[in-house]
Amino acid sequence: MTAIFPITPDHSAEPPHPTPPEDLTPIEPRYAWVLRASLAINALITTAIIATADALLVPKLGLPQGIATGLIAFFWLLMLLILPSRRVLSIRYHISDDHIRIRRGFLFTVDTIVPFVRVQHLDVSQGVIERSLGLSSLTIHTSGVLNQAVTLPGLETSLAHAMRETIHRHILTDFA
Amino acid sequence: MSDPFLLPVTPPKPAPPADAADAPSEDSGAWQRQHISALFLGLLRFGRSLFNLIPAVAALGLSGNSRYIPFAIAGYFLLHIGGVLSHWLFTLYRIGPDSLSIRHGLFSRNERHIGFDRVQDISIEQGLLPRLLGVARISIETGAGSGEDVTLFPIKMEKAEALRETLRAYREQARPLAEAQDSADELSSTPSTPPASSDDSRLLFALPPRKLLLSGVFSPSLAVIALLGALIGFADRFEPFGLNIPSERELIAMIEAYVGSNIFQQNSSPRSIALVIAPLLLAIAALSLITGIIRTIFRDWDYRLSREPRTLRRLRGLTTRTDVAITIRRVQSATLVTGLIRQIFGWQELRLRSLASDIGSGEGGGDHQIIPFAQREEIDPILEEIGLLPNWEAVEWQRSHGILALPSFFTLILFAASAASFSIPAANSWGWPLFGAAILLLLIEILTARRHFHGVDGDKILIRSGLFRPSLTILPRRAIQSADISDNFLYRRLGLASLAFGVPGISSHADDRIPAISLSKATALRAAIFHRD
Repeated sequence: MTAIFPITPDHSAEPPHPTPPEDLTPIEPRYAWVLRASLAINALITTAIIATADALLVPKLGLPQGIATGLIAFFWLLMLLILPSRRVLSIRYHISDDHIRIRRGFLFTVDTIVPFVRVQHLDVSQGVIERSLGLSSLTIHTSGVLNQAVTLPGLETSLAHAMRETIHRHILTDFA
Repeated sequence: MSDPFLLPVTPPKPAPPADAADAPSEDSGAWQRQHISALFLGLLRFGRSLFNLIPAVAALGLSGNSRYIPFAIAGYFLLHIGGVLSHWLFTLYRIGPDSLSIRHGLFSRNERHIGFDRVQDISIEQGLLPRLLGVARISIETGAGSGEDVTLFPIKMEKAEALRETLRAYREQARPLAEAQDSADELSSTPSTPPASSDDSRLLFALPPRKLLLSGVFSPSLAVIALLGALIGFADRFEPFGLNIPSERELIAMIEAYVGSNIFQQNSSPRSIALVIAPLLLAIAALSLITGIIRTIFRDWDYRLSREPRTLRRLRGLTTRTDVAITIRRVQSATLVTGLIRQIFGWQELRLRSLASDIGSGEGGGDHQIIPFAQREEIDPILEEIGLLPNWEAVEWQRSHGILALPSFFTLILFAASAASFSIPAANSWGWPLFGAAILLLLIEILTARRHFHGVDGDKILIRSGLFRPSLTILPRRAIQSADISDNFLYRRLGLASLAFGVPGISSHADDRIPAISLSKATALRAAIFHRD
C-alpha cells in the first residue's frame, strides 16, 4: 500500500478534522426569522385554500365544519414552532486556512468541504427580510457538477463580506 | 513523459498589473452603472415584450371589456419602464485591481465577486443597434458549473475592451508559461500546428476487423424489437410497393398453419405455445444480434486512437467518420465499463470525462468513448499515457454496507404484498409468477448493493459499482472540487455515511459517490484528499 495517501483503518482513526461537528460555528440565530417568514407564507396560502374549501364544500357534504382548517392550522403552527429554530441550529460552518466546511440538516445531514483553491466565484446576497435583520448569505460556486453552488445563509452582513474577501485572497492557483 | 496531472506549481500571487493604471483608470475601483443607453434599448424591447400581453388583451376583448385594453397596455408599459429603470439604477459593477464585482437588486441584493485569475473566457458581442450607440455586451465565464457567469449590457465598447485588456494582462502575469501555451493550444484546436516530428502523433489503439465483429456480437441491439412491434401495428394499413404485409390475424393463421393446430384457442397446451414462442424468441435474438453487429460496424469501423502532443485523438466510423480530440489536461476521470457477460471474457470499454471545451464533442463535453472494446492489458497503457493508471495489485477494495438494498427492499415487499393480495399465489395462476418476480427483483437489488466497492491508490480514488453494467471510475484527486459527507438518521445509528465528490463535467458513466461506508473512514478519506492541498 502506498503511503502517499494514508488511510487510517476503521475506528482507530485519529480525529480527522480539527473540529468535530458540535464545535463548528453556528449561524446567527435570527436567521430563524427568515425561515419563519417563508414558512408562514406557505402556511397562509395553504390554510387559506383549505379554509375556503372548508367553508364552501364541507357543508354540502354534510360533514362537520372547521376540522380540516383547524388541523392544517395546527400543523403549520407546530412546524413554525419547531422547524426554523432546529434548522438554524443545524447549519454550521468552519473556515480554516485552506478550506471552508459547511454542515446542514438534522435528519439528513450533508457536510461539505470546498478547498479555497477550487472556488470559482462568490456571491453575497440578501433577501428583503435578511436585509432588515442585517444578515447575508454567502454562495460559493465551484466547477463540480455536485455542489455547483454551496450557500451558507444567516451570516452577519459584514462577516459575509469579510469571508468573501478572505476566500478571495486565498484563491491563488488554478489547475486548468 | 512526466505526469501531466500533477498540480502546477503554485504561482506567486501576482501584483496588480502595472498597466492597470493606464487602463480605464478613472473608474477603476469605483462602483459604476451600465451605460445609460440601457434605458433606450430597454424601451425598444417593449415592442417584443408586448407579445406577453396578447392573452390578456384577447381575454379582455372576448369578454366584452375591450375598453380596458388601452389601460392594460399603458399599465404594462409603466411596469416595463419601471423594470428597465430599476434594473439600470440598481445594477452596479466595480473593477478592482484583481477582481470584478457586480451588484444587483433593490429589495433583495446579490453581489457577485469574480477573481481575475478564475476567468476562463471573456466575450464581447455587439448587435447592430448597440454598434450604432457604441455599446456592447460583455460576458465572462469562470468555469463554474453553470455556464455564463456574468453579463454586462450595455457597456461602452471602450470599457469592454479595456476590461478584456486588463484581464489579459493579469493572466499573462499570473499564469505560468505552460498554461499560456496550453490556452494558445486550445485556441488553435485543430491540429494546425505542424507536428515537429513523426512520433508527435502515435497510434495507441486500433480495432482490427475481427475484434470489431466480436465487439458487435457483445452489443446486441434491442431496437429491433421495437421495430418489429411497430411494423406489426402498422401492417394493417400499410402496403409498401404493393406488398401485402400480413396483419395480426393473418399472421396468427400462418403460424397455426405452420404448427398444425389452432394453438391460439382457449385450450392450447403449454407445449404448443412453447413451439411458437421459442422460434419467435430465437428469431428476435438473431435479429438483435445482427443489427447490433451492423450498428457496431458502422460506428466503430477503422477505430483509431492516437496520441498527439497535448491531446488524444479518436477517429471512427464507416459512413460518418468522426474525429474527436480530447485535451489530456482537461481529462477529469476515467471509467471502465463492461457488461454482465462481457466481463466474464474480460472485455471492457474505456471512457474519459472531460471539461466542456473539447473539439468535436458535439454534446458540449462530458463523456468520451476512448476505447470501445479491449482487454485490460490494452487499456492499461492508455491509462498510463494520461496518468490515470492505478497500481491494480496495491488497491484494497472495500465494500459498502449492505444497508444500500434497504429502500428497494421495502418497495419490493410492498410489490410482493400487493401481488399476493391481488391474487393469492395458491389460488391464482398469476400469483406465483408475480411473487417470483418480486423475489427475483429483490435478489437483483441485493446483488447490486453488494457491488459497491471503493479503493484508494496514491492520489487516485477508485469506485466500482453496477451489476448489469459494472463500471470502475478512476478519479484523480486533482479533479475533486468539493466533497460531501452525508448521512441520515438510519446511517447515523449504524455509524455510516456516504462520501460524494464534486467533479467537473457531466458523465452518465462515471460514479462519484461512495455510498454507505463507515463515518470515520469517510472523514479520514476526505481529510486525506484535501489536507495535501
